[in-house]
Amino acid sequence: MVLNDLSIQIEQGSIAGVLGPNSVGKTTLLNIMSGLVIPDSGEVFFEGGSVSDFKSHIGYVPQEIALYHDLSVKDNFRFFSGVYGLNRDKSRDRMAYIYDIMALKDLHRMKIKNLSGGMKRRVNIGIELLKDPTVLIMDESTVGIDMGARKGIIDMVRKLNEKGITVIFTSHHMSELESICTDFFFLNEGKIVLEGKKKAILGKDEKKRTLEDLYNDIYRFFE
Amino acid sequence: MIHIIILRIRMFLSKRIMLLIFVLFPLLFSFIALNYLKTDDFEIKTTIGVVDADQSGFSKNVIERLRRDKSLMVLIFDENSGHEALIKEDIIGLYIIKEGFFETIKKGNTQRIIEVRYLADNYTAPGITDMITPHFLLDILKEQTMLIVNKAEFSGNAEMGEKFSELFLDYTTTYEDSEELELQIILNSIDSKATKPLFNTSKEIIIRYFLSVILIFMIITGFYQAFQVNVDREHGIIGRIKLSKCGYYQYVLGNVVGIAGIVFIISVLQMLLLKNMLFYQLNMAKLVVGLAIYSLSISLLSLAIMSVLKKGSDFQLAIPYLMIIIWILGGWIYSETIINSGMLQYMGLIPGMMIKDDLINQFTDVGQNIRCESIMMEMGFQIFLFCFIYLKGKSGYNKNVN
Repeated sequence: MVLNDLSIQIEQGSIAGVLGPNSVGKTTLLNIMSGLVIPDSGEVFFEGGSVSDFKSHIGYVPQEIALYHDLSVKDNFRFFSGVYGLNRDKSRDRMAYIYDIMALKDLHRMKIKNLSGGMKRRVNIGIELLKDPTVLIMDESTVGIDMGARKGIIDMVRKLNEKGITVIFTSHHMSELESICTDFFFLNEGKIVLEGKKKAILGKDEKKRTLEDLYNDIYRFFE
Repeated sequence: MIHIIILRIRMFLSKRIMLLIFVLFPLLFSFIALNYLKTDDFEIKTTIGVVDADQSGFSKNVIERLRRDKSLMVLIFDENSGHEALIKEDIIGLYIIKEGFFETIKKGNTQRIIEVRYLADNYTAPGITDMITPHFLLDILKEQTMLIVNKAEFSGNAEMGEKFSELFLDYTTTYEDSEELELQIILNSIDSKATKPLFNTSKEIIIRYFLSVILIFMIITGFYQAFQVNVDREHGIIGRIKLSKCGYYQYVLGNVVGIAGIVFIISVLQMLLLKNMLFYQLNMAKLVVGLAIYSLSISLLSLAIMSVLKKGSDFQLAIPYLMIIIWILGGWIYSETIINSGMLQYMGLIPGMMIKDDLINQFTDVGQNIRCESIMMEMGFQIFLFCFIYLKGKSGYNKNVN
């Protein structure tokens, strides 16, 4: 059993960080929340309704670069526009918007395999923005790229959140989680062991601690 | 679904190596082969031995007609030397015009007046009989027609009979299907320990071999496109598709049609080349129907194998072995000679293999239709394979897309 008796509530407009060591169920939780995987029991609600009815409002950015590497950025966008149900005009408008906010304009004719790691990650995120999602779920979307590229992605996520998109984020980089997230959920053995707002969890002033210290304290406890 | 189809075609076109190996190379191969097949020098004569035990003017006439056939090399033997030549494989068949040949025909009997001897492991020789028969039949029919006419109307007037018979000669071909004029040939196979290649090739065998290679290229093309579909699973793209408006049914059908489309387009290009360079008599409409069915079968077969093996690397490894199995069991040239077993003919029921014979026959037999039973069998296989692919992938698609 990967997840066990877990309940979680994500506030609209927040950037929720889901943390935990490997194999605690982070990806499974995100897969269930997105509607990708059906849980054996329990339900997922989105804006009061079942998540399966709102697939088009949820963007899921997987850990893998889920793109066709032999096709260009433009062709990837075109394909996913089609399967996401966008008509030609809407697709063109969305692509122009995404190229702008994700800084992809100069890359649109390049094949994915010829892009750097950071560029691939941007395209990977950009594809999900075609849906104009209300919620963006990002499963370790900054893995395997340098600090500069990671910072660029974090900045973009912040911008998207400012436009009203709720973001659910997992990462092993504590510093980026600390800089961007408003809420934290710590998982262990398929359960949430700690959750709360950033200020409440990390403290303030002389009692403030880093997320990394907190993380280490929590999981040392469970070892 | 249409987006999936376009994707598969786009992915195929995006890789130069794919275009080189699966489009350009086969077309180049065909171009070179067709140039060779076109030359007159290519014409390989089939060497046959003839024994004229009858020694009548009639039998000599028939032998003369055989000599004038450009595809035959006719050597005259007596029975013993002819038998020796057969064993040494200097000839592919020994055709013995029996003693009393002409007299028997005059009496109105065409049964068992020619004997054909051939080596047991040479399956070509009985088939060559079809080439020989018209030469005998024409004179037999002429003779029979004259007898019928003479008996009926001109028994007392030889001159009139002769004139009338000449008129009837034009109509002798309509009697070819008549049972009373059927030429029944005695076939005798002889055991041998052949060390030379199993058959002497006539032009038709070479053409069949060449066409088989073209169709095998199509199978390999289909396999490698199915391998590309695996990229969706390995790169996590399936998750994106699952969260899209594209349902699982549409995804599967899109892949099937996409791969079939690629195989179909390449094979039509090939056929256009063949038609324009050598096979002018081709009925493209029939061929297109056959190729569409063949392409669909190949696509479904490829995806079915992919769904069993799951890993792209395993599938890549398996492709050469799959090709050998298909070649041996699928009823291609040579395979029947290598494996001649009643049980194995059932193992040869591989999708695509039923219609392929009809496709090849379009080139060698003018006016041949694509058989309905081939189409029905292929469609049966296609329905089965589609259900298999759909059900095999569905539980994994729903439960865990990675």
